[in-house]
Amino acid sequence: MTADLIGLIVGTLLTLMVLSYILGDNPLYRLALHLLVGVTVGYGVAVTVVTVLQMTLPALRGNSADRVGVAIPLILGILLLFKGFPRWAALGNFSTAFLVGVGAAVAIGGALLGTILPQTAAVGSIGTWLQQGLSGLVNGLLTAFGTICALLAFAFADPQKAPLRYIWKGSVGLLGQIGRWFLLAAFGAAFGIALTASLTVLVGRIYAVVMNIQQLLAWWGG
Amino acid sequence: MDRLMKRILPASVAMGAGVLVLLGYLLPNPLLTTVQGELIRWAIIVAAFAFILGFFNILRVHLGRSRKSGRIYSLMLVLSALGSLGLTTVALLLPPFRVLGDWWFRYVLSPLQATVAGLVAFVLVVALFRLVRHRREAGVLIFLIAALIVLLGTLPVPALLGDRVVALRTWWMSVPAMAGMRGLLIGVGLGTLLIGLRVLIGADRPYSD
Repeated sequence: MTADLIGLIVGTLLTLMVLSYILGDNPLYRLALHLLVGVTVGYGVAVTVVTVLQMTLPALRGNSADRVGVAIPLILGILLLFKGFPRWAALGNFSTAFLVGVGAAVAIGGALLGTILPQTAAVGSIGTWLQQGLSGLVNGLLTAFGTICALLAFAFADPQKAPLRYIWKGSVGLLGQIGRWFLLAAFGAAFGIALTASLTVLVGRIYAVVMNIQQLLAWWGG
Repeated sequence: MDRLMKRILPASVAMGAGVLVLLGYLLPNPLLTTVQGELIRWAIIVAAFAFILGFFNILRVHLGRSRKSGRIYSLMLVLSALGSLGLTTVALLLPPFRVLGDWWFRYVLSPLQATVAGLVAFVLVVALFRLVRHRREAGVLIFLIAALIVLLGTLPVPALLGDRVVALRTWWMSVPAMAGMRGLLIGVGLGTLLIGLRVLIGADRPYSD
């Protein structure tokens, strides 16, 4: 029996174990799920460790500046491991703080330069709409209106004074309700896309199982 | 001293590193960009240690499980994690064993992950069924119409349904769905900006014990 044949049997069994969830939650499915978590975590840690080793080892063999450039994150990383011991966990605060600080700055940069500015610019790109004629203009205006309404759907604070509150509910509240419909239009589309993608993967797996069984039967029959 | 070690110094590290990285984004200065790149590289290395810490935490949690009904699952998780770690590390470090890593990826990791991804289809359909059964309102109708348009427009049968469905799908994706998603993205972006700024000015200190 070759390694590929064993692989076919293992792959088919694991696939069937996961698919057994269709019949309801059962021990085989739970076992497969735990295996999935274990295998994925082990694989992820291995890839991460090897990548970091490949990043740091050449620098440790380099000049003193390179060594310092690698020694600092390595020390921070080793300090982070103290988080696993409650008595020494405070030593890991520096590493966590460094990670959170850099992470927050990267998140701000990404949100500002990668999301807020380009998306806001796209909302008001009248030149692009006009290139597509009247329909482009109508669609562009509708998209801009929908975007503003969708943003107002997240306005949860109400003014305290009574007259202002009525005006607020009549304007922002109404636009927010329309915005919720636009959000649901987006969620429905995302749902359809997710369903299509997962169905494609499912069909692929079922096809693979059928092919595996055919190959196994062919091997069995000699 | 305890306050200095547990609060003030970590906050200084977070704020200092964060501000330097942020300045690298906002000011086009070669020195700042270099510092930013180096700090992000350091953060990647430290994050790898966080991953290792998480791995040991998973092992500790599952090895500590004494409940009889779940013990076998935890044991399998630990064994598969250790096996996967050992096999993949050997395969990545020693080229002659690469075939072992490929086998593991092809016949264990890939089938498991792909089948769970495929199972999402069932979960989505069940969730949709429950939604329709329990909530009958205008919003749900819009959600259903959107899902239906996208599904019908994606089907590879244009002759049966006509090009109009495909055109409707394209319009839906580029106007109402785009508007909703754009509003959502800008909202998420503003939220991220606010939380990030709170961390950088020290109003939120999630790193202090």
